Amino acid sequence: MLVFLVDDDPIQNMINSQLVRLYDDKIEYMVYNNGVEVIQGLEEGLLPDIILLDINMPIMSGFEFLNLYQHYTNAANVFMLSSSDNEDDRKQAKKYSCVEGYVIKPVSKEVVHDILLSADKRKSQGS
Amino acid sequence: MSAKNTSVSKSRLNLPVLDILEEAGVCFSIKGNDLEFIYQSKALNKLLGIARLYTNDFEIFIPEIAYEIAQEDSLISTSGVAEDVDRVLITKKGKELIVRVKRSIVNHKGETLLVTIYTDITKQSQNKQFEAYKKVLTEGEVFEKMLNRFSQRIFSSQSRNDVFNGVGKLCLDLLDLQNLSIYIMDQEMLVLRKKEILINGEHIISKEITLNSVNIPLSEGVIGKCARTKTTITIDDVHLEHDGIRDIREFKSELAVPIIYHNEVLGVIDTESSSYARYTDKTKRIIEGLASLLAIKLHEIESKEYIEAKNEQLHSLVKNNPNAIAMLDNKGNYMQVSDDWMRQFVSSKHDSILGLNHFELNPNIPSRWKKLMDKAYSGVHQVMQKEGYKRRNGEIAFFKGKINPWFLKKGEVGGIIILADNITESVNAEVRLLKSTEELEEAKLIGQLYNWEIDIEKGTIQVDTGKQNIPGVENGRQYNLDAFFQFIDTGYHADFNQAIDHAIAGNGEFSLIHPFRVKSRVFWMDNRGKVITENGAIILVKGTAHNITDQIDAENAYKQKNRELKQLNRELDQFVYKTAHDLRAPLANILGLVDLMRMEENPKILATYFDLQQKSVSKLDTFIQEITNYTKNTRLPLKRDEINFGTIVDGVLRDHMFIAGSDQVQKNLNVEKSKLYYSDCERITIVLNNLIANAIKFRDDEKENSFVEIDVKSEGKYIHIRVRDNGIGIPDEFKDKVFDMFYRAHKSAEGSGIGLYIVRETVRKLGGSILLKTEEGAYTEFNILLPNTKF
Repeated sequence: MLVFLVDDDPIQNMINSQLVRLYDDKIEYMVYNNGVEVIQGLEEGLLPDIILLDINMPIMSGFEFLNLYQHYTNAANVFMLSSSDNEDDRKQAKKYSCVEGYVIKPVSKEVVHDILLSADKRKSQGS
Repeated sequence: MSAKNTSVSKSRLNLPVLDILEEAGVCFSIKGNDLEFIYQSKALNKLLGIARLYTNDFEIFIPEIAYEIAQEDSLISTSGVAEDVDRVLITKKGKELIVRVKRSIVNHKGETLLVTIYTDITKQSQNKQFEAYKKVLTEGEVFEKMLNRFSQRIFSSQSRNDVFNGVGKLCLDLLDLQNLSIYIMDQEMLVLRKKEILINGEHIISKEITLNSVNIPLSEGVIGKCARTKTTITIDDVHLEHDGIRDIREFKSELAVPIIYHNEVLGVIDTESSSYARYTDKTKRIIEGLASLLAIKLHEIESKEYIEAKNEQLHSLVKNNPNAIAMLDNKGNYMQVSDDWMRQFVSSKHDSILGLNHFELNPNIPSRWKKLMDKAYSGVHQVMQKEGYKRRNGEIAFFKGKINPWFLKKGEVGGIIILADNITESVNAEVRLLKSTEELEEAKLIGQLYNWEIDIEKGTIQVDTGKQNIPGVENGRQYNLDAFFQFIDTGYHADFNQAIDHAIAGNGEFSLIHPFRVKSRVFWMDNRGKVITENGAIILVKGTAHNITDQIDAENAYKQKNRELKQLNRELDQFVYKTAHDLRAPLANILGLVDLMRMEENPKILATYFDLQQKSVSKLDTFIQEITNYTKNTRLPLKRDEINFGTIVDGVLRDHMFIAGSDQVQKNLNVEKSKLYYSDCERITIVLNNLIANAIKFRDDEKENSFVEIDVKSEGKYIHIRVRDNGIGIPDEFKDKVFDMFYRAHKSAEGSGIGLYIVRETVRKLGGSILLKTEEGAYTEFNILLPNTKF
């Protein structure tokens, strides 16, 4: 399984990668600082199963990224990360079919565990 | 007469003779009045396409003639006399064959047998089914049966094309025709549009009749004449007929039959043949019969289309009407409404209201309107005069309208049509007019009204400024019009002349609103005037100028204020959103780290977590500081202090001493000495603090000597502050945006993006300006000009 961790905050990225490793220390994950970097990763042929996506990022925000990403075939399940619970953001996120959930920071071990477990299940059913 | 399929063993009566001869045949034993099945040859099975025993031989024929065959069989079995006949036979696959039927009575081992042999002559048969029918039926019966088949086919068809295809197929089966066309009358164009059905004995799959089809004018040819005279025309030799359109094709005879419904010609059936005198009375009768069937069907289709088109027309008429129109059925449900109706009376949450109930949708309809609608429902037209109502958004709107009943065919009221004309504008204009007349009186009292007269012949204007003085304008002086134009904006000169011309040529009234410029002040004047005649000649335009400047200024100021408020509102919204986000982000980090630390035992890793926590706390602290600065700038009144740049920069540098990377950046301050600088000390600190912090944050680690230079000079009435670094610079595309609130041009998450916004806002508050010069990878330079005044 491949997980994309997208946040402009290096501390948040560090926390997220530790949480992913706590679930499975052999899990593959990529860290990106903004939407443009993710697009570059995708263009290189990486096919993530899960994307944890921050909303507020410079260069290309989470929503700007989703505007492009929603047209990809085999779009991964995206979980939005936000430090504030904003109603407009939630509404906006719901418009994208690839967005699976909306997580308010701090991201807990349990939440990451649940996200990855369900992705694992989906993957084993699919194959 | 009945036939029984008795259990006869084949060995008893072995009749292989038919098989040996490869004849298709069947054999019955004659038992008194009954036929008893004996044998059926393999060749017959093959011919019929199935190995099935037939209990009697007429079962295999088309049902229409089964009865006749049964009669015939009965006759033969008693009389023993049989003639060869041609008949139509249907195979199991539904194919129609023409077969020659030979019957013979044979005596075999003491039994009397009826042996029937079928020979397939479909290919040879020239006369096809028509002849086949003819052999056994009387002419009248054939006629009736054929028309039956035509009528079944025609009346089960849904469209014109269906009808034509069906007719084509049956004509091919039943009539020996070379060519057949149906012409449809176009009542508007008075032409007959051609639809070819059969060409050279081939059935043409029908396409729609279009405007591009071959057209024959009513005035021309046999077809035209047939339609004009409404009579069948039979031509045995077209060469003797001067009405015939001389055709390069070698047709020799022609038959044209009009399709008439209630004395109205709907079209013409036309058929041509390459032999002379092809069309007998029989053919004519059949085609005429076909024409009368077609007449009924085509009329039916036409009426259906007409009704549909009318219905469509009505709906489209209502829908696209520029006025507000609604068509209701007898229960008050919307059948159709115009777009304008939707705009005016229906809340935007409804995409469509068709099918909804008018009274349920508008529960607050005043009772006087309901009364009018009730009367309309009883069949009486109603008129509504200037009705005012409050819209959902609180605006008062006015309309006048009509409520008309519409009627069903029988004269019953089918529903009502409401027409509403929005007259809000004109009512408002009326009100304004009324007000302005009142104001006119008022204006006179406060002396804002100036009388003037224009002498047409001399081309001069004279203004009576009364007790009120208009600066620059002399009371009572005759100005040359061209000279007077100095007071009027250039753009309005043409309008002014036009207004005069209009008054002279038109209804004698002069009307123009224009700006009136005296020195640097602009007034707005509303001019109203009238021409004055003497002995029939126009000599003067006399009028008053009403100073409406205050009114217009107030309106503009109000609009401006409104725009500003809206902008402020948007910014506030964004501010609250971003602040909530940026304040919470470091906290979320800290909480996330605490979570990780609980699960961590390695002291080295724990130490890094503590470091990160500290970073998050500083970030939060910085942000709170920034917000405080922002608020300070907006809320605190401007102060004027004597500025000591050395002290301020020292303070700023002290604050930044422990910031990451600070030690790698050389800081230089050059202040032009022996000058005094006045500004708001606290605000200058905010500005410099932000710019220096940015210089450190965005230093270029690839360069050997990173620096930031702060130059302060006095330039006339201004303080010029230049902050220049050799950092990473800003890409061109972000240059315009870096001053926007929360805009971050760089991908690092260090800042909130509010810094430069605060800088710009603070500089603005100080009454100065800021200019950015930068080159990506080279340098960033901010030039700030601030007014250098003591007060």
